[in-house]
Amino acid sequence: MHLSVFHITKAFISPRGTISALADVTFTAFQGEFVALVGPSGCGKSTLLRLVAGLLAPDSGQIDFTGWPQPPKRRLVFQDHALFPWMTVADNVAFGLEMDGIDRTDRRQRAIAQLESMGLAGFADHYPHELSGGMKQRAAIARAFVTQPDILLMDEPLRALDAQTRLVIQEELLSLWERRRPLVLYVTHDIEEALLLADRVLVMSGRPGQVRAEVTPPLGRPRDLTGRAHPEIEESKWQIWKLLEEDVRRQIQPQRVTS
Amino acid sequence: MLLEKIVTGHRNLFGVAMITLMTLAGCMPINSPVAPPATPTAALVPVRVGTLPFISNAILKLAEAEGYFAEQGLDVELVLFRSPNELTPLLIKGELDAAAPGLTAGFFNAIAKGARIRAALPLTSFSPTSCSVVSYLARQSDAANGNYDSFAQWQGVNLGVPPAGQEGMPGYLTDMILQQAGLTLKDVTLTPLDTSIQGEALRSGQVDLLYAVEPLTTRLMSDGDVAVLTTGAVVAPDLTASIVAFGPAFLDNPDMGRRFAQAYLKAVRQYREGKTARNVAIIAAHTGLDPALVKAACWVDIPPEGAINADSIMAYQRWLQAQGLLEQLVLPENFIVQGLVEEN
Amino acid sequence: MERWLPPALLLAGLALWEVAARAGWISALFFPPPSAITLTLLRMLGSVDFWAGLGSTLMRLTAGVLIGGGAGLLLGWLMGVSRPLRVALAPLVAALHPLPKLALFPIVLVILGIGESSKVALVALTAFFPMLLNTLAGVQQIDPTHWEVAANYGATGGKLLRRVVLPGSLPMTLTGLRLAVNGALVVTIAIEMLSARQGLGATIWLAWQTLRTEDLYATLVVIGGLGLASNQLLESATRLLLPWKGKP
Repeated sequence: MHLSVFHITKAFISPRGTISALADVTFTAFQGEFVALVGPSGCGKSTLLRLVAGLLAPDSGQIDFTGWPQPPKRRLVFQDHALFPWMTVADNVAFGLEMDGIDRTDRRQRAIAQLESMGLAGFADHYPHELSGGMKQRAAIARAFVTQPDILLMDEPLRALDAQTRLVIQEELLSLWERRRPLVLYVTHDIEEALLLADRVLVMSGRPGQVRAEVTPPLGRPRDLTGRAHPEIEESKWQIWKLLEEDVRRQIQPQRVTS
Repeated sequence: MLLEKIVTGHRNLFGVAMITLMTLAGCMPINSPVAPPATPTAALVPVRVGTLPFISNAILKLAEAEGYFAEQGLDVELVLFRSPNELTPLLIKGELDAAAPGLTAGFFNAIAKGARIRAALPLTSFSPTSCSVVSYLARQSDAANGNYDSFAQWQGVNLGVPPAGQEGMPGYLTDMILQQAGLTLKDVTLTPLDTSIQGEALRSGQVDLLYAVEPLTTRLMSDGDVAVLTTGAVVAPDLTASIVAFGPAFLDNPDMGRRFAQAYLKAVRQYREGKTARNVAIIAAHTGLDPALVKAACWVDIPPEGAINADSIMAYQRWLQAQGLLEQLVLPENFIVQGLVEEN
Repeated sequence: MERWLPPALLLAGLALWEVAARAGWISALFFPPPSAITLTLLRMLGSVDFWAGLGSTLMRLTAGVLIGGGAGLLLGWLMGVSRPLRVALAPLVAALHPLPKLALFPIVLVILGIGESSKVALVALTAFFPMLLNTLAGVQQIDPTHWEVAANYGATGGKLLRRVVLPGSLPMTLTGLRLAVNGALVVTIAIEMLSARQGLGATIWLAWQTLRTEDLYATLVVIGGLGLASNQLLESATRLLLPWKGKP
């Protein structure tokens, strides 16, 4: 079972002109893999996730899901938790199950079990605004995992959180993933995070985005992230940084937007 | 035409709302509280007169247009209103020196509570010898079927009246008709209708009968599908149905009041000459009606000698009192200006 | 301290009014002393006619808000989720919304007749637009990410409406409802002044006809109370329906 992305292009039309978000992106990812996508901001990583999720259609190219039920269940985790403020945490977590047509008691049970496994059961009947930022994002992750997706698409899910919280959630995320091992596409622009979490890191170039290289961190599974330094990934970090450096520097220089 | 009526109907309401607001805010319009005492010198005395866009009120326009007020040393400013409801409060407040407010319970109640306004000159007067400005109309088909051959057949009808008509002249006249057949107002339904839709309501069968005031009757009759059952003049011959009232300035200064009356009566004499081109033109200009319609319509009968039929108004007051609308009867010497015209 | 300031000011104002009216500094005919208004109000509250009139007004108000508000709500949702519908109807709504509804009364009368239906129709028309516009705005201000979540998790049709569109737009809808009720109350009273035999507006009209200004003020107090009560009710409803509205 694998996901194949062939020569995808995507452009957006804005009042200032046509912006090419993705130009000829090609890669393959396999069932059970944790794949990270890194790249400078504006390189179309989020767009790529939405294309795979089916929320957007590519201008050209093809996305194939081989071996999965058609269409495979793909669930997104968003940058800002994107919980519905009008639902309790339990209802939010159960939202995907509800849409899948699972009855009330069953879905509530599954949502609570998911929350319990993440130590959030005590907040099941709270509203999102009563939760801390980290708890909200964990509830959002729970909402995605509880539906048991074939492919999990994560769009910088930890971006808004402080370093300590991130570390805790990264670990939690890996342990959740280990249980069923769905294919994960994980967008981040934190190089270290990408290396610590992923089996493979796809490095993307700046706008329009393209996959420039692929880096495999020298870490086995299962991984123990607890507060430990990881000298073995320093080489890979340096390698990725050299790939991105030019794009990042260009981005922070004043420049004209060409259309 | 319809649009104009709509706007008129709307403004009536707006006017009442404005008065309500102004009264609430405690700020009546602050423009000149009127006429300095009259030392009849060369300078004209400024006077403010409220008018309504009705054929009856055109008499005030006529007196102004022909210079009769000026002859009497009065510099009259006519202020046009859309609804008679605003006139009584403004007369009491002295914002207006003269106007033709409706003879509502409010007029008499205000005098009973000490308001300084009085009926001065007759306006609409019913007379069995002339045409009638108030008519009871039915659909021609119903009338031809003999549905309304006697007043007893009015039992249970739905009668369209002007807004708040039940508490005023329309209610009074209707009650008198019903009494002739041993009925009361409880035996019929009075439906308040804005002027704009009265004709349509009768034609479409939403009401059975209509209390119509000129020029509506003429307008409806011209299409031949309505019939006149009876008229106000038949029901209440000699009733003074509307009056011109004076505010405090004229009551404090009888000389000024007399000069106003002189000008008014001179205008009445010209008015009574009939539908001359000049009269038609003035009335058409004042009412905004088509001159042809003005010429065809029944003109209000205004008595030439300026005498108010006090007895007829006392009878009307007794009716108001019986309806619970009047706290007490107001005697003629208390609601009619005394010694205004010689004949009185 | 601040809690007591408004009522204290009100009482002081009323006392001043009372003295001024009794001393004849202001016309008692147009500004009857508050004590007289209070007595009139009490007498009113004890009369069958008053309650019948209040009942008529409330009937018209309620029916108008339910019909007009309900239609506005539905169309607001539909226009919110359907871009073609929004594009097609938006100019029409923009053109019709500011029309003074009272100016249409004679036309409504011609169409619907002179009974209750024409009065209710005008009240409904008045309630329709604020409800429509606020619900529409409510749907449109739903966070784009929430639409993405809904789409990604497979929400469509009734589920989408019930779980996302309805609750997401509810805060604005309730604001719309409040505007609708307030507007409808104004128009109900105004129509009753124009053409009703019964109702608070008819009472006001009669008060002017008879220049019984105590009746006028007493009725205005009742209408004010009605406005206050409906707003309180809606505020409670808002708290009940939006427990999540502590913070967005």
